[in-house]
Amino acid sequence: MERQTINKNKRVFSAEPTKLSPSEVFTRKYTSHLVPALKKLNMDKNSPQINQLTVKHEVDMALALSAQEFAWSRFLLEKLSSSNNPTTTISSSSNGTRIPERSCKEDEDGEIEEKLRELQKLLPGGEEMNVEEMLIEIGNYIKCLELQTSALKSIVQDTT
Amino acid sequence: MDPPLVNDSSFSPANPSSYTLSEIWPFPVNDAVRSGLRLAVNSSPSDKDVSTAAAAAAAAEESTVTDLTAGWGGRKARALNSEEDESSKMVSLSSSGNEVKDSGDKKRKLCGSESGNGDGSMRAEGETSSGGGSKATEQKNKPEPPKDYIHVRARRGQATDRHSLAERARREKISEKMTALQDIIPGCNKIIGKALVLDEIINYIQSLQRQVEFLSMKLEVVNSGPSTGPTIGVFPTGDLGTLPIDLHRNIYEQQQEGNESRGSHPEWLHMQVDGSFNRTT
Repeated sequence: MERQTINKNKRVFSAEPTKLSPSEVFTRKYTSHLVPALKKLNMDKNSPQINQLTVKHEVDMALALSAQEFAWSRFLLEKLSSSNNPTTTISSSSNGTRIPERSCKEDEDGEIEEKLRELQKLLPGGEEMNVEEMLIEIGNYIKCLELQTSALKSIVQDTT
Repeated sequence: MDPPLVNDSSFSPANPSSYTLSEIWPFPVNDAVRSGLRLAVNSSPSDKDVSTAAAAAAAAEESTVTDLTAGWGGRKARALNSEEDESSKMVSLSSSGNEVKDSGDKKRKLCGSESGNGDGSMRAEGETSSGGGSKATEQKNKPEPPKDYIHVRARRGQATDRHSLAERARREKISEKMTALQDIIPGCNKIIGKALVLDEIINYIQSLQRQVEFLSMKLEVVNSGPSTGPTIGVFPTGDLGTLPIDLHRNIYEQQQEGNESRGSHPEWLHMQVDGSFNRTT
């Protein structure tokens, strides 16, 4: 990243590869997935099918594709590709296994358990992981969500 | 390295005079929930001496483990003695992989720390804490015979059978991870208590997801508008760093072709062609 000084004839870019932080890598991947997909959607605009769900679908798909090193992205991919109705990652989750509350524990513990379960619902595929894994994955998921949000913001800003 | 200090808040030593420096752990400053993955490698003195010295030392070690869970388990903040004859096993969570404090990359941190934290076979060496940079202040470890499994210290009045020990170790790991999460979520540092932290996390995730949904709605509108594709003047590279600017330009705007011809990017050209085709239709 250091510019080599000077002569106009010399190249100005450093010879070393730019080191990208993982956030940048993710963002780059994300946009490179999403934007062509959007363009494709745009091209198919003639079909009346385009609706909000489709864009959301692409958005989620791009997220899943850009974060493939994480477990939750695999779940998300499955969810997206299996269902034609893209289930949004937002609540309204009808995810299956609901773990029954253990009423024998003290209240405080029960609350915590409940909250952990809620977290599991939020995370795609969270219900199939055990708690430890889920907590780790949640961290990654949050980070990717943040990056996704900022990427989306820039894209939207750009075009308005 | 932090000087050893006795933290009164965590325990009241039975017999201060019987301390020897070699037996005392430096006490962690027990207040704020610092970022997770703290490890206390507890090396115990030999199990044999059940004397008050051992009690005090054990108590000292206890509080380091207490600090692990960062005050959630209130019940742990006591001077506790290990079971007498029972070989007290110790919690030794190796810090070798756990570089939480390198806030360089939060994502990787979580992954890496988990992979570094090999579960079954961790050496309870005295210097495992030297994973470097762990700001945990409790890392004055005495050397200890390396063992091959996780040692969990049994506290006074708590069962020492295998299951509860495993359970306890598991719980402590969970709390570690939660403190790690606390770092990520803005504003979570101040909150004490698992339930509240979890609440915050849930809210945060939900709001992020809502944001994404809202933005995608907006994107939808923009995308399908009749005359979309305004000229993109400046691409905000603020926090996005090195984004492929050319991609966006190609898609929405074909005026600025070839300004930055970046070498050979066949897809790039391909998209550009496609885009221009689109425009004309």
